[in-house]
Amino acid sequence: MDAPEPDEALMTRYRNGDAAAFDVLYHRHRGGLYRFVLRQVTSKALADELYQDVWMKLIDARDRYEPTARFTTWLYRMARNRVIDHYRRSAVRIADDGRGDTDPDSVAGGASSEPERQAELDGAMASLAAGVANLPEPQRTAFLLREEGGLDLNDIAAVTGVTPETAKSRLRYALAKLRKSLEAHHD
Amino acid sequence: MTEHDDPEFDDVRDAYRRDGGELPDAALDQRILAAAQRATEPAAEAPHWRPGLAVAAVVVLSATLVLTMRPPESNESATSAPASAQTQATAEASPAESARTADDNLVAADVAEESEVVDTIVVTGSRVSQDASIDAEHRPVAAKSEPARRERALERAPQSMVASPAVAPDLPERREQVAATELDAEGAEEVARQAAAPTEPELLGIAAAVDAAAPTDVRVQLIIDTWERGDADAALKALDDLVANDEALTETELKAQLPEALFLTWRERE
Repeated sequence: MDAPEPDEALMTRYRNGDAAAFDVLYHRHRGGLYRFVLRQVTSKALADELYQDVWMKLIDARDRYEPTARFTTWLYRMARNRVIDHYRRSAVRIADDGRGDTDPDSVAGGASSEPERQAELDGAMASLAAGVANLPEPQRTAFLLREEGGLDLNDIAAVTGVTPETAKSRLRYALAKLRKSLEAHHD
Repeated sequence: MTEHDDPEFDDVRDAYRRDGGELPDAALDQRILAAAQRATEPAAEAPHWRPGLAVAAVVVLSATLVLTMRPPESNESATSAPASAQTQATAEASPAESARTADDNLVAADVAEESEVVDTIVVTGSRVSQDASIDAEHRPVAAKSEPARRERALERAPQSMVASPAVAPDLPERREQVAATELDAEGAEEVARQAAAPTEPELLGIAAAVDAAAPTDVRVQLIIDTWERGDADAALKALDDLVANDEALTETELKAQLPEALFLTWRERE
């Protein structure tokens, strides 16, 4: 069985006018990217808007794409920038007071889940989703980039502009907090 | 799990991944895929004629701007350019004509100078911001003193076309003479045209000559025109002739067609 065509090759084909390559690329990343955006905003409608913006930006920027880095790094950097841009424009400060990197008990989350969305998730998932929403933004971003984007520590570091060690630390803090959320649910 | 995943937190990751996760709506997928498709279609690209059209529009706007902001005397120069071109062809005909030709050469040189400015705009005027700088360059040219312009124009004009200073008087004076000559010519044409035109009595004569053929209402209209022009006697005489030659014409009909003043005046005279 042939190995799946790399993202970079698909994006290069799309840049050269092959719309079918975009279809493959899109379906490969639609779920992860959507959840990455959805977990960082307060409503599904807003998530839809930002998610669409990211893809439109990618489409517009296709001519400038050069496969010098991983496609996912490029895609998720655009998505993160779009989320940050949204919060800046909305004058909503993303919780990033620095405590999240040093205090695992900090839960100064910037996003909150809608009640109806929470209702769709039962039990443990509801508490886990709430836990993700309540993570400090750097930890949440690191966690989502790893889980939804499949980025490794080096790519997470590249997207968020920190060292790989810092990215690893944030990821560990995030997982530790989420475990606490799961344990609280079981108790 | 990869080498980057800490096995210590496998349970958390597994719990998160069991969720399966939310997905975008199908409609949202379609919008994005359609946009991606459109972006690769040739029709989505800007038509090739658009840049050319934009450049043409800028050139036209720039030329219009220059012409609008040109001082009035320059406009005169531009207006007389065709005439000067014609005059150049008949240079050295007579001293007077030669003087006029030299003057026209000066004017033509001015126009050529202005054309150079316009050409500069055509070449470089791809942006509105450049228009301003070009216009700024143009202003000092237009603002230069008249003697300086004349001297420069004389230097540029072909030697055969340039009359001696004695023959070519000062430029403003020559322009006045040219204007006066043109006015004289127009006046002569007007006199000739008026001389060739029929006089009012002649018009009345024409009206009388067509008595037999002209319908009564046409003759009545000629009489009314004569009356309204102020020639009451001619109008009344023509009206007498009309009534004398048309026995069927009743007084009631005349009253209905003629202005009241004319009718009453004619009636009183009767």
